[in-house]
Amino acid sequence: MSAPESFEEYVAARYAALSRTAYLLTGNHHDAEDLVQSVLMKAVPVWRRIRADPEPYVHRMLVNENISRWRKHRGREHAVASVPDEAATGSGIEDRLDLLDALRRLSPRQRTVLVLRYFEDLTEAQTAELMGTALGTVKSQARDALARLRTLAPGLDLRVGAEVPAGTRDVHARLDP
Amino acid sequence: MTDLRTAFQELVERDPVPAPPPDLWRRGRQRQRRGRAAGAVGAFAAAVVAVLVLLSVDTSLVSPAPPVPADVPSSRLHIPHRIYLPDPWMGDSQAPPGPLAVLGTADRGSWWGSRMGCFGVSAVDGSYHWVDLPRMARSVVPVLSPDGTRIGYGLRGAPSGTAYSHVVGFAIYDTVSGHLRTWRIPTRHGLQIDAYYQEGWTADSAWFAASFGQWMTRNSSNYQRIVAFPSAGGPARTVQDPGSLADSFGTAGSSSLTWIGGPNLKKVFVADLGLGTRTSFRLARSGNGGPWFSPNGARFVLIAQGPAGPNATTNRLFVGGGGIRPDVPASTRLLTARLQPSRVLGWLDDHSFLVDAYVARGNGTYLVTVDADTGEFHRAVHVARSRFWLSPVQIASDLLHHRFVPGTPPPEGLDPRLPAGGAVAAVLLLAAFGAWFWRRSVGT
Repeated sequence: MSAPESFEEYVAARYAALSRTAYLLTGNHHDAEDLVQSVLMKAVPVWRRIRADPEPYVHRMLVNENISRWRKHRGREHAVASVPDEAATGSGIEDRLDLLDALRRLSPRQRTVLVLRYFEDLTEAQTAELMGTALGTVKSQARDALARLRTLAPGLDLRVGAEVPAGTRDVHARLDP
Repeated sequence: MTDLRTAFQELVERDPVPAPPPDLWRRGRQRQRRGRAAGAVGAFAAAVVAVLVLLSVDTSLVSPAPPVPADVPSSRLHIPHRIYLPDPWMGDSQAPPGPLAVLGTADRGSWWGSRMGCFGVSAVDGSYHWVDLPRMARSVVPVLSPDGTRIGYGLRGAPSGTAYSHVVGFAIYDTVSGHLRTWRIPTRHGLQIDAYYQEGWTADSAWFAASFGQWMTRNSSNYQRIVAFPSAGGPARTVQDPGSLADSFGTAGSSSLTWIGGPNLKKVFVADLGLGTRTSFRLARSGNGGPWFSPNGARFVLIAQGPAGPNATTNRLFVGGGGIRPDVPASTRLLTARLQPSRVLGWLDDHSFLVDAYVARGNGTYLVTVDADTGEFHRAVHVARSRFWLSPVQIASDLLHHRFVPGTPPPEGLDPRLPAGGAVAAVLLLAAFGAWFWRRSVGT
């Protein structure tokens, strides 16, 4: 990805992708939208410094901000047994709702590890660096998260593909130390 | 079996992503400005608080007072010839001031103006110190003991009922160790200390005595009683039950207190607080203060109204003694008509004593030494004038046996409000410049 000419250009190009990642991290569209906008607003003061390559900063902020918000509101967050505002009208939709419900029941760090590893296709090392944690912690959290996901959503029968090598996407290479 | 990547993709692609709001950049800028403004306000407040705390909590940082030796032989303690008023912002030291030659009152600066402060002049080196007397009742004059190591004063507090006075007891502060002893007197409306109030020390500095009454209503009190407080600690002792008293205590011997009372104030009481005995003798004339016996006990000086004439109501010095008999009123003679004494501070030797006698000159008064034989007097100690009514200084009378020494002026103080104001102005200026620079660099 080439460097964006302006903040507006970057937002136009990456807003949808960031929103999808945020959706998986937060578990609902409202919080996802709020998270992405908050992170982008925080990028404004440092834009002059990061404009050549904003992606690593914004991704790191997305992860950290989400965990900070969870810590701040942990007393108010609670897992729900079902998603009342989603209508289950078919087997595919039911599977997705089960996955979303199961994701919500994971801890934010577990959820983050899964999203970064299997949605953003980051390596374990890249995930560890972005989360500011040890490689071993990422491995164990990924293992625990997958086990818990299978327990919470047994009907999904999930499988995990081979690890994507570093550099598959632009963001990965830039996250490498 | 579903691949997790595929499941995630299907999950996020299920719903359309809304378009980004067009004003993210502007909102980000606003947020940045608010953050910077909050940071600047916080830093400014922290700087102001730091400056205020630094300068108000410990003004000794401005001009720290040197520590005073606590254990100095009595022979090396002296009273200065000249007693100055300390600068209101003279530095403060938390340490006890050590043995004092002089205790006085003066303006002491505070952030909101000035208040009455007690200062002491070191008997060791003549240095000046503020003396903080905990819970001091400002309506009671603090009194320095003859050896200069203790201060007796009234204790401020709340009586059990309606307060007509906030004096609820007495205290003795040790100027060497900083130790404080307090005696609280049970009182419903506060202690009445403003009429015929007396206080003083025995010559051995072992007892501090005060006379006081109890307020009964807002406008009336019962008679004064005399109570003595031991400086070594222990229960207070009632020396005399309520009765009429003259204006000030005198001394006799090492552990005795004297006062004039009885009908027409013609009876002298001598209470030896060490032995627990009390004797009395009659005077041929009414007395208003004392008597103060000479070190050898051969004679005494007292304050009484002068002989009949145009100045008959003016206080004069009288001297008596020599063969006091309980059955014959002791005669006294006018020592000098040229002095108007308010109190006798002590004897220098068996032939002369020091008097506070309103000998004014310039911006102050003189304490004068008086010859007990001839009545001749000499200016001895110049005392700068304080604006407080309880301005007469207290002298450590034991030191009158030593020579007077030249006084050392107290150090100049620095009003901390000036540097604090300067610091605040500097911080404001810096904040204004920072805001201007930031707006210039950020642009709009």
